[in-house]
Amino acid sequence: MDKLKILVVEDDPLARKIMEAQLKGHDVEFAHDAPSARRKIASKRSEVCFIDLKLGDKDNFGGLELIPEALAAGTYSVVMSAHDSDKIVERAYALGCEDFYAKGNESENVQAVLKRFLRKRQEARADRIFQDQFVTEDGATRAGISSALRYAGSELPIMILGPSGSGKTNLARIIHERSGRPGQFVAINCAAYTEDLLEAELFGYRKGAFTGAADSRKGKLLAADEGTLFLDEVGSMSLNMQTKLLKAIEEKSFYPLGCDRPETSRFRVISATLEDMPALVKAGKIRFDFSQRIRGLTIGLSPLSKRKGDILPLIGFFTRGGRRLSFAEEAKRKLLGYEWPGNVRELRKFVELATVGQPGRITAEAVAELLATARVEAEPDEFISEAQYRLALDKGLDHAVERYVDAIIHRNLTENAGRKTQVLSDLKISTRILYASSRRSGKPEGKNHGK
Amino acid sequence: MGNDDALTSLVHDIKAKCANLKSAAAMLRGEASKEEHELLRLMSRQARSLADEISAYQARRLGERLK
Repeated sequence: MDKLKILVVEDDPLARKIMEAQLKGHDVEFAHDAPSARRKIASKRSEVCFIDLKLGDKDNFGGLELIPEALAAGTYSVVMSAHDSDKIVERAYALGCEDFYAKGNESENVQAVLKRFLRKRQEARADRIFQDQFVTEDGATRAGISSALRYAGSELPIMILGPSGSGKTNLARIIHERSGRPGQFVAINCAAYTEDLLEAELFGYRKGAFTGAADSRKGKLLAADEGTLFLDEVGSMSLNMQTKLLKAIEEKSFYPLGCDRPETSRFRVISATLEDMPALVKAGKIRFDFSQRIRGLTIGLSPLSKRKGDILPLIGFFTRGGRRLSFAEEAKRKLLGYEWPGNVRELRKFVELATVGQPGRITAEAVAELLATARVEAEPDEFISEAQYRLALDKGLDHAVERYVDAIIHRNLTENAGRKTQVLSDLKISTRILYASSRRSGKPEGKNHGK
Repeated sequence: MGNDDALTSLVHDIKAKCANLKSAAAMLRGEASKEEHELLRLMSRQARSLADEISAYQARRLGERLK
């Protein structure tokens, strides 16, 4: 249990002795009478204050007057009294005490109070997260995140499932910040690297380990020592890479490329994917043992279209401390009716565009215009755009890859004023690929593009 | 102080002090001898003060009857 700062207001020396024993391990101070209690409460040093109601033989429940003072100082106030008539109990709660216990069973009651206090403090912290770090009013999302935060301080690996732009990296960072781990938060998007490059990025390498390794480089695994390694788009990792990473996770040590001495790193893994993990395992794209190792606790983040109640609070959050926006009723309806395929990332882009280029009062027409721009501009941060992903789902991966290849070749041809030899060199492709692309695009093979 | 108030105060003190005695007695197990000595001293003082309060109440009641 956390070490708490506790004030005990108690005139009876035997009762003080009992409380001292019950609160062993905490930072406890005592007040014997009301004036000294007042001074100590006003110093705002205590997190919890136990108050006896009768302070002295002739006192007439002077402890009651201390309750509002403790409340005003932000202290969790608890009455422990033998005087527990309904009238007194009611009065104490009306004055703002959080708990009222009859004296006589301190060993259980004191521990129960402290547990309640800690739970309440944790809930208050979680509430702040939903206002300041992961803005959401969606009950299911809040419950999922709260549950993950309960395990933040453990070694348990966490898997975050959710569509692109829904806040997976943000959540992983929050979990790391709450973990108490002294190391860094190190994120890597597994989909952004080829297998060789991913291995070099993760494990690091020694100078000369491969062509182009001009200097030694520390990998992400070592950078995340005593911290958190966040594997985004983990579903795109090759089976071979999964085997190597699994070994590193289990043994807490690994060999950087070109090294014959292992490095040790005690990192905690949080991973994320927008794909269905069991389906990936079933399809043979994710090793079963690897999936088991990285899926201690699974949290799902819904797309923004499923939590539209978050749209306006998120806009408020993105403009906090800056230029505030106001939306006409029709504009609000448009915002709430839109599907937000790019999720929170797209909304953030929308807000950036609105704060820079629009009057503070946003009309429905402005929303339509901004949405069209935001969607295009929100996408380049991702390795694949939402549109490309949807195309692959709709027409199949081969078709989507061909479209992707054609678009890159066309752009490079244009940039090189149609010089094919330069395109072959820039993109490191064979003439076969270039001509196949030209045929698909309906461009004559012998003619230059872009002129 | 009327009799009702005096009785209410006595009931409160008996409850509070007996509760303390009960909790303190439970703590005697496993206490080091110095702590045990201090605890027993406080318990005896509490018990005596309780007996004094009961006697004071008894005297008060006798006085009222003799009036």
